[in-house]
Amino acid sequence: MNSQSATSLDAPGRALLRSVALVGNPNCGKTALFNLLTGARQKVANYAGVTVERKIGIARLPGGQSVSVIDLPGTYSLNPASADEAVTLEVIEGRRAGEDVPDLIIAVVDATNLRMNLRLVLELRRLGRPMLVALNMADSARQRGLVIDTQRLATELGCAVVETVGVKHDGHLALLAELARDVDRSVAAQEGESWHVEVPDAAALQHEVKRLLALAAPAAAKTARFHPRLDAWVMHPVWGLVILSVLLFVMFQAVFSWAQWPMDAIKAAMTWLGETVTTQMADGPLRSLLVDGAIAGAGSVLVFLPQILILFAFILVLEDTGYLPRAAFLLDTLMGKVGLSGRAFIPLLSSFACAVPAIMATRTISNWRDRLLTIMLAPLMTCSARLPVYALLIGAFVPDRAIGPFNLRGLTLFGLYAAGVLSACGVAWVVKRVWMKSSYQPLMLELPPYRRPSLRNLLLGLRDRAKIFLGRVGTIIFALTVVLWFLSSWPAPPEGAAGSAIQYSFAGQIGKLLEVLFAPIGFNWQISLALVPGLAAREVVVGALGTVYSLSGGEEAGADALAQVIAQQWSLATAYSLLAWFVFAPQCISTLAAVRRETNSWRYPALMTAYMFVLAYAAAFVTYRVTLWLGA
Amino acid sequence: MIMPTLQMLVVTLIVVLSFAYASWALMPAAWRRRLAVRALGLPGLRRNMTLQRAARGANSCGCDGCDGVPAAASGSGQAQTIKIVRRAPP
Repeated sequence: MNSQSATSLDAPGRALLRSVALVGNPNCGKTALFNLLTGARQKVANYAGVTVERKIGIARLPGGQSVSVIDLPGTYSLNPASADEAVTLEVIEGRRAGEDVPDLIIAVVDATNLRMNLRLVLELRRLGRPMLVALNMADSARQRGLVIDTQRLATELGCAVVETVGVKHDGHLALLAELARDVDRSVAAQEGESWHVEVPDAAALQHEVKRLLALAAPAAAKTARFHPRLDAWVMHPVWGLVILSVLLFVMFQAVFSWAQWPMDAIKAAMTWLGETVTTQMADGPLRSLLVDGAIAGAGSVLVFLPQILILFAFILVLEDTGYLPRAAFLLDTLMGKVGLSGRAFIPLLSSFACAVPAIMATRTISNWRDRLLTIMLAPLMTCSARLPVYALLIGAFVPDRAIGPFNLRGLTLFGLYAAGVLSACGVAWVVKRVWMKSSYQPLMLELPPYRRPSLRNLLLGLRDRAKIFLGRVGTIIFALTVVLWFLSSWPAPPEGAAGSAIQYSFAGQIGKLLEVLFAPIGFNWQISLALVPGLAAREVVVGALGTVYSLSGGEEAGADALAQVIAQQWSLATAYSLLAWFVFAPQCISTLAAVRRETNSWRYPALMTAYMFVLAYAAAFVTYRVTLWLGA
Repeated sequence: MIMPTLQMLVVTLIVVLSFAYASWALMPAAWRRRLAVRALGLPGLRRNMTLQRAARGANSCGCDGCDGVPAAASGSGQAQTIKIVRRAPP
């Protein structure tokens, strides 16, 4: 990746094309085109506001030249209304520190929605910069019977117009060919011209769009983009909520029931690996490191890969179909009642994957107080790193029993996710009344048309998600379990010491110290110790428990054995208390760093840590005491 | 069969490397950036991709898309005015 773009003259009055910027309305397929042009794997989804920061990649043209491609957040006009739209304007005006203005603008247009998209193209034309129009989703437009006269459109706009399909592997070839033709001529055209933006009158723009459509795509106004009958159900205030609840129920049921077979296979592989190393290797520290550290620790986290992939498969399909923004509209009234902006839905939804990109996604919220509140709430949504912890505890303590058509374990998981959402609503309600008072901001979000999910997108998304998870297991989780293994193995116990060796180790002593703080909520020293590396990455808690219990009792390695051990050694009250702790658990370090970066202050990450610690402790305390009182 | 002394050597190496990696990954981004810039000045490390990425300020949390540069500060609590434009009569 190259963040620099420069124009170098190779002949008098002529310059080489070095950088191009993809500019367009939100959800017109800029990032899909960027991925095709550069081979990158940036996130794409069928709703507005996925890209909030500019991304740069290198595209190779047919002639062998390289061009730097800049993917920009979507914008409806050159009059920015939010932080992400401001990024786009900064880049195309050359106001971004350390970056030159792009040599060519590729105006990406959703060919199925010309009426809205051409307005931005006309604004961009006024910049007087070299420009090229990419009619994206050209295949969808053709399927709907929309005929676009590209030659006529090119003549009227005064620049080349090419058709592209961002979701097909060869959908960018026409664009590449046009870029190759533009390589030598583009910069000469911009000399002496102003880059200052004058936002024209909206009514005049719309009038001009109508004129263009009448000439180049007369059928555009008549082509239906939506399915009103389907939306009448999906966005119905009652049936819509029922459909949403059923979808979420099915998703959480699937996480448990569909993942069983692959999880069993990974567990068996881990057990076999542990046994093989134990039998094939001489007793010593390396064997202990491999069996008690790597296999019992990092290996026990690996087991949860199938569940994470199933959860993401559902999320990716829902994103691709265009359902998620409809769910945002559906929940807008509820979110408004607790004081949240409807725009907060998409960032909060992203939090189910990871709070870090979700915190960045709040840039689409223009009101600072609403944005700050969404940032503070994002970690309350259940990120995928908590899933292994939930799955381990549910697997160990919740019976595998059917309740009507549902499985009790799936229902418990659904309940934990719901607890995160409800607690976020509760916190928002309180905060809006005592601190960040602001008026309700109505939700204005462009509804995308329904699309059939792309199998290619789904598989690529799952591959990326698996790579991220395996990458974390192989790097930070492995490193932390090795460090914990070391702290749990040294120093050796004194002569004649009773009990397991780990109790005399550094880790054992740290655990005992922390136990004083956590005993009132039912946590033993092993749990207290495991919470510390869990601040780096949540999944490490599972690995840390695996290592600590493996060293404590010499049990079989692997997540299956860990589930059995904790089921025997912990009370039900302790397990429920730990689940309650994890609903509110103080955030991982990466999240706090992201909050610091986005708010330019240490005050907010400190506040977030404090309020989440208090909530987590209080919830775990109440859960523990109530469960004990009930006799569990 | 690996002998206990040799096992101890290998274990020491793995633990030291793991500790170094965990410290690197979890240290504040500004420190990591400064360290990476210094390390890139050393002979033999100039082309190291990990260091180059860290020197640019990339995040090490393992999440895709988490490595953006800081957003512009937004201190105003002002609501944006939304202009509704009436359609021109047909």
